[in-house]
Amino acid sequence: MLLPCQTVYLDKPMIATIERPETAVTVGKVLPRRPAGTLSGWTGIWSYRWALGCFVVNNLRRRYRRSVLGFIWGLIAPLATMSIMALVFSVIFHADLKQYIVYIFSGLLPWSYISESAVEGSQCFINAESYLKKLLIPKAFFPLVSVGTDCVNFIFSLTSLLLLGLVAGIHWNATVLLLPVAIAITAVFNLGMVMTYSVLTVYFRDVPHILRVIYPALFYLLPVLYPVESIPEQFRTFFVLNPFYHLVGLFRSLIAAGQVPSATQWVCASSIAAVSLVVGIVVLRAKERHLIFRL
Amino acid sequence: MKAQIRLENVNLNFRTYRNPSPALKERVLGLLSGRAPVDDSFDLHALKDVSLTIESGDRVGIIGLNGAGKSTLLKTIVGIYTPSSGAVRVDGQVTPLIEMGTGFDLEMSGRENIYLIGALLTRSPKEMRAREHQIIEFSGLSEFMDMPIKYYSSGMLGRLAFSIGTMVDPEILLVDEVFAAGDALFVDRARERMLALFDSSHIVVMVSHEMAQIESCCNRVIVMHAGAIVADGPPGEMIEYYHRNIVGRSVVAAHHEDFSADIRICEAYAERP
Repeated sequence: MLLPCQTVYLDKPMIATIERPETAVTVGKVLPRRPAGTLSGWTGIWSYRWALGCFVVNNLRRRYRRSVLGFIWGLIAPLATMSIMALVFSVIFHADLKQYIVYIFSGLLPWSYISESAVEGSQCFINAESYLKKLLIPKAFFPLVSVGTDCVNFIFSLTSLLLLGLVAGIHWNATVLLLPVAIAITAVFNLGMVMTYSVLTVYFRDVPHILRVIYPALFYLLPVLYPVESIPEQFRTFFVLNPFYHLVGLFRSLIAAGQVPSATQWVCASSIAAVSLVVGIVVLRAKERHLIFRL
Repeated sequence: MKAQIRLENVNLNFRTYRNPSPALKERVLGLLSGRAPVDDSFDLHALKDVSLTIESGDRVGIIGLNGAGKSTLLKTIVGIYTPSSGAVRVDGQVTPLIEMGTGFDLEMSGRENIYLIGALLTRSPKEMRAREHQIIEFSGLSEFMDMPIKYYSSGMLGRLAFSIGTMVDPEILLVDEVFAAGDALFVDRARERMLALFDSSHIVVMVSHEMAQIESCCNRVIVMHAGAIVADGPPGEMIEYYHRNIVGRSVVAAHHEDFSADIRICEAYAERP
């Protein structure tokens, strides 16, 4: 509503000519010319590698800040949880369940990585609002930070599992040396997921809540607590269609079974990761210029 | 090499939502009940047909009331906002003087924050190591460097932010009301630093409400009102124009309704015949 008394008219705009001094000072160091907009683009992300490192390290440090043991907690916490579970199981079932525990955790740890990344990462743009509004940072930076932080945590947990196994007298197969490849594939998958979820979250703030319900439910559809062989033959196809099954399967083979996954397994997992990444990139690219107006 | 900023008929529409992110519930319920979704958005025309060329050697001051679109214009030049229509072309590396405290991690020490902000400005740790000493010395906070900055006073924080933020070698420098906080001693040194920075930049665009500062630093002033450039010229004339035509009239308008006078005036200007 416009009240008449508030109407103001300005003079006709005037554009005066101005004198420009012949300055063009030589700057000490001439920086390479960068075409406008590149920094927001995808090639620019490389310039932010140090910032990425800083953010990941700071996120981790914040978690263990001022604790006496600091980073060691990253190892101790999963270690303790796993030991307790192992203890409880062996007391309840009066059996040596070492292999079962290894079996469970080789599936549980990657699953937690996937689900925690998704739930936490989906909020990355919302949490980064102050950065997005003040600095020009490639948008993919924030999903990368989120997935990177969770990835380091995941590596801590896996290391704990391997250490615990050694203490318990398990001889790990040399296949565990291939774990970095499986970790990389999972990280790519997570990155794609987080890109998609985090863009969705900017538009629908309910997304993290929905994910928090869906992911635990998905857990039971995943043969983590039970072997896939315990599923009746006719339903097994449904499990194979589950993308998470293939990713978790890699860790299963490498850690619990001590086998190098078959070529089919590698191809399946890699293509799932690639599809996830492509979807994430497409979604983010389509919306990256509009996100700022929705925060 | 010539730095240049060119804006051609740039329009920026903010679609503002009373509810910035409608919950899924409302969408789903709306679909189920067959009701047309309530459009609770309204457009804010933040930049109106802005055409502007800034050449190497220009020190441009942008003045205008709050909400006139000054910061929006800077953010459009940086690339944070993509214009709804029109073209923005920037030749040269744009360095926004980082807003006080942007990117600071309060839990981390002063020294760590130097590297953090540096990294956010895409400076490598190596480059920052070369500047670290200089930054610390300029801030005068050497004995507090290893303390988490959440224990800093606001003056100390301001000094650190200024020292890091100005440790850049810009081609195009954008300054959005960055003023040094701190005691008189620091403010003096900061002013000197700022002027040196201006001297070494090809282009400076600054937003400020301090007319004295604008008059002393700039050789060109742009007056913005309600998202449009209404005048462009030498500082003295422009500041006078601003006071006479915009501030003067706004005071009259504000007299009738002191609440959000600026915004009303913006609307009035937008809808003038």
